[in-house]
Amino acid sequence: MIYKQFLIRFFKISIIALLIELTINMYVDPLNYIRANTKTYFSSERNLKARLIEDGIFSGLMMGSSKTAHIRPTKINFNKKILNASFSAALPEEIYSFLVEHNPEVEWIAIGLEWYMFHESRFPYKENVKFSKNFMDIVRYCLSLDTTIYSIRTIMKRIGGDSSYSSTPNGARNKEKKEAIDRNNSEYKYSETLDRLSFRFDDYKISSRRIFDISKIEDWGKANNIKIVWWISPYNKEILKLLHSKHNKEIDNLPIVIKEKVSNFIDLSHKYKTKDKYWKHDPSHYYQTTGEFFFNKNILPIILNKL
Amino acid sequence: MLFNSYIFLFLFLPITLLGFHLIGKQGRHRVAIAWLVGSSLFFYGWWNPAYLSLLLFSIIFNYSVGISISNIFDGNLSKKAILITGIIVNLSLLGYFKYANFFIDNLNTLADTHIILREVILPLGISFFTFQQITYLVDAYNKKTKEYNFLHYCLFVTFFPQLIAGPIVHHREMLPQFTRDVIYRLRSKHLAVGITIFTLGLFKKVVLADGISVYANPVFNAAEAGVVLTFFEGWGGSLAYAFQLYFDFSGYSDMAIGLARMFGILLPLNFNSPYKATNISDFWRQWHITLSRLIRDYLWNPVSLLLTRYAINKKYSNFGIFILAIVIPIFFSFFWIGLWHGAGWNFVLFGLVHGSYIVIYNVWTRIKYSTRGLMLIRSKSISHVIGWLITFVSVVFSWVLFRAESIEGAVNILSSMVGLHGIHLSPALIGHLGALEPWLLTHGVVIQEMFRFGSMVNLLILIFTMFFISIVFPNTQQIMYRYRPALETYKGEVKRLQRRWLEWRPTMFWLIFISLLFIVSISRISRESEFLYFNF
Repeated sequence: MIYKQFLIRFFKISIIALLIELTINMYVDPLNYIRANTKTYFSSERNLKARLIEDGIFSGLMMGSSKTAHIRPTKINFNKKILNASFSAALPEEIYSFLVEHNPEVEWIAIGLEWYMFHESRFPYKENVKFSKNFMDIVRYCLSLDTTIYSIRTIMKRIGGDSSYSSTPNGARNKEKKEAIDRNNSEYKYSETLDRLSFRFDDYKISSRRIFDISKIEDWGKANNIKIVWWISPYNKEILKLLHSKHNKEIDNLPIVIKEKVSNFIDLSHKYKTKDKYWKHDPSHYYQTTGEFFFNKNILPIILNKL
Repeated sequence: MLFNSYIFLFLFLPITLLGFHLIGKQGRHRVAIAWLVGSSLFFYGWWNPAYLSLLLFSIIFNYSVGISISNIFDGNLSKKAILITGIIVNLSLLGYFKYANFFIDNLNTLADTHIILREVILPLGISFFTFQQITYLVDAYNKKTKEYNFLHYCLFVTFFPQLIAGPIVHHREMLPQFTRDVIYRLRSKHLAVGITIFTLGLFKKVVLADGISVYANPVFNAAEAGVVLTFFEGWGGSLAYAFQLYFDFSGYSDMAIGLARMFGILLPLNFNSPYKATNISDFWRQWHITLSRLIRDYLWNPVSLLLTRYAINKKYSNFGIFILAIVIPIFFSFFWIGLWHGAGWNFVLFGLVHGSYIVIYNVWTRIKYSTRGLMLIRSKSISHVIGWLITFVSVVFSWVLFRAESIEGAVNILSSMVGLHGIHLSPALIGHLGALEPWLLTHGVVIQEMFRFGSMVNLLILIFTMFFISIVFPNTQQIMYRYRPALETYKGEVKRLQRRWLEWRPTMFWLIFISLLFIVSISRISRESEFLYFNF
């Protein structure tokens, strides 16, 4: 083969392969990045929630971590449209950027907080968080090997008629079937998660930057005439035991520090701690039904009273 | 603009390459060079256009100084004065942009002052283009330069493949190449060779280096935050970083050489399988070769010569001569190598640690050849294995200083690596270790997760794969040996493979292999990550 042939063939192979990849990914859009997909199997929550808030009109907004993401807005006793814009491992600076960037015209926002969110040495501070996508982001997505793998898996699931979509249209995680299966499991499998969490709570220190972000969100809400309700998520008693075993004043102080910064706050960390309210294979997340129950009972009254 | 970005790959590179060859084909060589200089300045200005003026000032200033020095007769005092002024201006610029904050911080600590300097943003590649031009001035003083045309000089400094992170090129290597007619014609051979070398580099960067960085970064961040690391975390993080840095720099060097080759230009070799080195001296002949060469020629040689003469004149003993002619110049050179990499005490310490490695190696070679009892070690294969192991482990330890953001962070990781934080055993292993288990538990082994920053199995797979690639696989220069991929600094430094079938040729096997690497690499540019050496 001469050099010229080598080059022509190299360009042909590369261009054709990349074009095929680009076309498949644009058509399947497995992570619902470019609005070509209505039913996503694989979660890219930050992108998905940004897209959902841009595409709809809502009266209420839920934000927080994966725990909050479990709550189905359709099960909340509020007769207007709610979006659950929570995403996994959310951090205060991300919530702030999300709100400022999308500037949602809602009546209220309910934000679920957790201890990990304020522990910078385990969850490093994210500078310059951005949710919007430019042209190059879309090119990167369409040419990414990860996207291609998700596309192939999505196609397989569509062919098999699988209905285990990662998210419902109003942003909640699709866990209905999984919750029923988990409830029927007789065994609790906690040790691995507890080991991992123990490390996360070591050397706990409240991040002043993130407390400042909480204040910024509160101020942003006041400036936009949006009621913001904050809560600390309920914790499983096993995790509470772990938290207290650290004998760290900073851990105990978190609810006090947050309360000083915001006007509508409720600490639910010790309120729903029995094991039956949590996944058996994952003590850190409550069931969807638990989330919906405490939201209706404890959060909604604050929202309705204050509106 | 990064080499591993779509803008560079699909817009900047094709336009620049086509423009250069289309203009050159018409015989308008000066315009073609001007096009390449303009493109390189655009490439540099993409990050921060404000620093273009600094680069242009540096070029015009050094070119004028170089010409002035060349036009003055020897022995004239003003010649030396111009050279010294030129060097001082270059070092002052570098000092301000790179070291001012470091200097002020230390001054504030020592003198208890509160001087505040506004944040100075480090212009990209300043260390590279400053040192490249200082060597030009020194050579002009020693009458080793010719009358170069200004446009060619501009290209010597700004040529985009080497502008940001080297190789640090020498005017003698580059400027004569710009006058060769052959570079102005688009040759499919150069393009095929260049694309192959570039693709190998791109794969190393986006797949290997970026792939393992997700394990290195959290460990170093946690160490900075004061997290007490386990033995395996210390080693896992530092080995992950050792391979991240290796493939990042090796990938960058390949990409630079491949890009230059597309223009028909040869760059000096900068990276030659340093992790295969069997002693620390070899390591520095294989890692960042052009920096070592620069330090050797312009720092080590003059200082060592001066001190040797002094020691001989003063009739010092052999030991005295060894200290003055070897030890002091080594520490002096490595102090500057450390500081060249960054404004921080960890970098200084990194340099001094490597200086002491070299001194120890020097002492060792003297003992080795004068002591009978060390016959076993004189056996080549045993000596190579021991030498390689000691060199590799020493380098991995020194990278901790290189990567850590503070001395405390580095000490934290190093302590875990030597077992000062104890040895931990995963709870999952309990019950599977048989008779060893009670022994381990009674000898201080603690039950705790061994690696808390991701999957330890995945990390081990990555480390072993990268270890294998860097130690056993032939390197890019060996694969491309038939086509003289780069200029050699040391004669015969690239060893030709015995298995010639592994050498690249435009065959179907290589076509498929390189196309596959290119497609996978393009599909992995999901986020543009900067090259580590851009920071220096």
